[in-house]
Amino acid sequence: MPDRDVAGSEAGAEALGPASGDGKRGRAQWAFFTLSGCRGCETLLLDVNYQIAPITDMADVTFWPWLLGSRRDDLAALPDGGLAAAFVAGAVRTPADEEAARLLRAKARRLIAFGACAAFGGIPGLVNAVPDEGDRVRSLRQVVEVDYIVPGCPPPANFAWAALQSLAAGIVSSARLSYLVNVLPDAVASAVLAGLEPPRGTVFAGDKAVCATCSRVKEEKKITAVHRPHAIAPKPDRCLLEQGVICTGLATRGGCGGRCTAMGLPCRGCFGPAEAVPDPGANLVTAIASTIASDDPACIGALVKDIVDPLGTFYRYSLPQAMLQPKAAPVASFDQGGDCVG
Amino acid sequence: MLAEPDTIERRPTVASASPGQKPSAITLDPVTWVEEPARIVIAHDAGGLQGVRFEVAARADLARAAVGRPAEELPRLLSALSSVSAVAHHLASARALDQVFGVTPPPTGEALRRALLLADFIRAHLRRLALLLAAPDSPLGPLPRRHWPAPRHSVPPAFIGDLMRGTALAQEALEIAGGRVGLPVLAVPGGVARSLPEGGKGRDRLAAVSAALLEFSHRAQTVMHETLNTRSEWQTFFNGEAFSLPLASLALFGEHGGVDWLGGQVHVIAPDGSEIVRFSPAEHAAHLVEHVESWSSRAFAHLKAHAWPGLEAADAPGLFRVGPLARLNASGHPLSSAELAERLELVETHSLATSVWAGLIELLDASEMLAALSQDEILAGTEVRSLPTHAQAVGEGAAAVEGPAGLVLHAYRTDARGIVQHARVLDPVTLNNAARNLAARRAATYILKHAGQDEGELRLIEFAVAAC
Repeated sequence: MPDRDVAGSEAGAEALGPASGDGKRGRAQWAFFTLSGCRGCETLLLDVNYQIAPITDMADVTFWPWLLGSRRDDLAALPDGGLAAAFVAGAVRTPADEEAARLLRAKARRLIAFGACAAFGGIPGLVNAVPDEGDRVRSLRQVVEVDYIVPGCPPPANFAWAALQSLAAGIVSSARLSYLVNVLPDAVASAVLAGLEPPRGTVFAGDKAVCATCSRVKEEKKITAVHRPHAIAPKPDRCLLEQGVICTGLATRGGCGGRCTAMGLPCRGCFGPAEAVPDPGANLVTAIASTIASDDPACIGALVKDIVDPLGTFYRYSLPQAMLQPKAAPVASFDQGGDCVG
Repeated sequence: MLAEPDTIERRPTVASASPGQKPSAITLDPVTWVEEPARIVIAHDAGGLQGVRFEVAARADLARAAVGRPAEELPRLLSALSSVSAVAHHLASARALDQVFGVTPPPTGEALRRALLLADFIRAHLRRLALLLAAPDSPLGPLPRRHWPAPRHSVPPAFIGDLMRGTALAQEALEIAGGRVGLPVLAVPGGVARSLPEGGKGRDRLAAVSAALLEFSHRAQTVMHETLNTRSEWQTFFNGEAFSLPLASLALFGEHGGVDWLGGQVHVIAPDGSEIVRFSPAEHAAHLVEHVESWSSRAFAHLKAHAWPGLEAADAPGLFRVGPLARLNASGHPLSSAELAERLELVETHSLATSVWAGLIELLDASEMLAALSQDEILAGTEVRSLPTHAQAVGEGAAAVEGPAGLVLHAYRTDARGIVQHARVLDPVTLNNAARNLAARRAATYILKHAGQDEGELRLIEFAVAAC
């Protein structure tokens, strides 16, 4: 791991704004890059009200292959720590991905895992469940140390902007700051308001589960049957799980506003595990078991059998970081810095 | 033979290479403008070009990700693996699942799926134009290099900002129709998950946004016409040998014979306009096979009737392209107005630059159709999905949808519970893989012969690849 400028990171007290040693005009330099992924996250950055101009007010975007045509060599030519921030999407799957991840880590003083693939491995990580395949998918956090996480598939516009603006809070307007404070978790908001960098390890999302913001009415969770989403037209206002549709919202970090559940489709976990949920599968098995309204083992057995593909459902976005792995693989914990592979 | 990748990792600046030490390979990594991570490797020596590869760097494994999953999850799961063609994947998957579960969507459900696809066409074509215009060194952009035709008229810089705002509007249309920014959460087997809300956050807003997009699309046509078609050097250059690539076109046709983005028959049309073959998506295996090369992470689709022809000859039988240019050439130019026909005659139809025009024509078509659909009472319907009437799945389904980047085809086989046993997914990355290699080769041949290989000129090779 190359030496990096991590001054004040523990207290989250690094002063914001342009750092010395940045670009020629003393402005912060940023990079955007996608590893093995689909560009959905980069697209999101472009699609966020198309505020490319505000981004360029915050920092000089010096490496963005998709938009600017930058080459890998342009990145290699930068001094270590020369980037104020690198927003990296996609999972680590190939040797070239790993090389790019390490290069970006070396060049960037702050590395942001942008989107579900970088943060948890994402849907590509489901291939890890298939034995006999040489390639494995890892999250960015499993390969290099990551400073911030912006989850989602893709991240919603408000949190993407919160992350961008928090890192540039020293130079954004007070109107933008007050907007930021509204969407960020309290602790992050206070740091940003005080002109400080958000504490390292901040996840730009809600701090409760999806259920907290899902608009559906929750009553008593007692189910007598499991319904697959194509076989039921759920009542529009009632909790999907209470109607027997397996929904992973209760183990998933919220902040998305429950957009999928509002459409009538169950949550599939793209924000990753909620706070205090070390493993979404274990959490969901317990939670769903407790909702079954029966003591009859035969009835319970029949109902559980109707939960098809628990692995692909409970770990849809996070299999590479699951506690139980198809083959033993070191699993990073965010609190430990995530740098425990290799 | 190309050198092994690890020996050609760095991109030499050819102009500054020391005498007598001519580099043997140029690597463009990553490739700008194409969605999938990729690079272009050009091997050459004193004798000229030795080989060109367009190498896709990331696997997608869409079919592998589908196997073992409950089929009803696939519209969301597979679209998330390929977000740039996400809407086309989402809809092709749902249409295949209509067959798997034996359900037919009600008319309003069909109309909402169509609205989602139209919004995606508008967004994708606007964004593509914005990316092409915004990048430094872009052949269409404001900062061209010296060796290739410098424009006397570039687009007004403010127009790029307008394009971004237009794309944001299209994004809003997509969110109203599809429920979410980014990945859609709309289509389910038998229709869509919810009806369109009334009022300012639903149908009324969609109508207002569509009207604005239609107006903007007309303006985009005009600006691009004034900018590019008045540049005779642009015409000469892009109609020349470097960018002309006659290839068969593979596109989806409707019942009435024309290209239909939600049609039911795949047609393959030769460069001279004659039909090579037509087949239904369910017959995909009899007509389309995939060739694998170790250096590309994605396969090369080609027609089964011909053996794999390799990537050396430009007129290789069995190869084709998909996307805006393919749809334009396959359709025999059903332009929406005489004015467009007049503009189009200025460029040769197998020139890759024509792809820019094909995108503009589709932008206008999609805007017109969405504006009309958003006024249609059919969107006010509340019956949007049919539920399966049998507990057991039919078990087979195959469907195709044209996305902005080209055809997407999904075919599934499931067990009686609807768990996927086998899946095949073809998308523009696979279907255009051969065409992109041919385009890269042709453009690189020209650049190496005629130009100085500076960064701006190398960018033309990427333009050729992206324009396929």
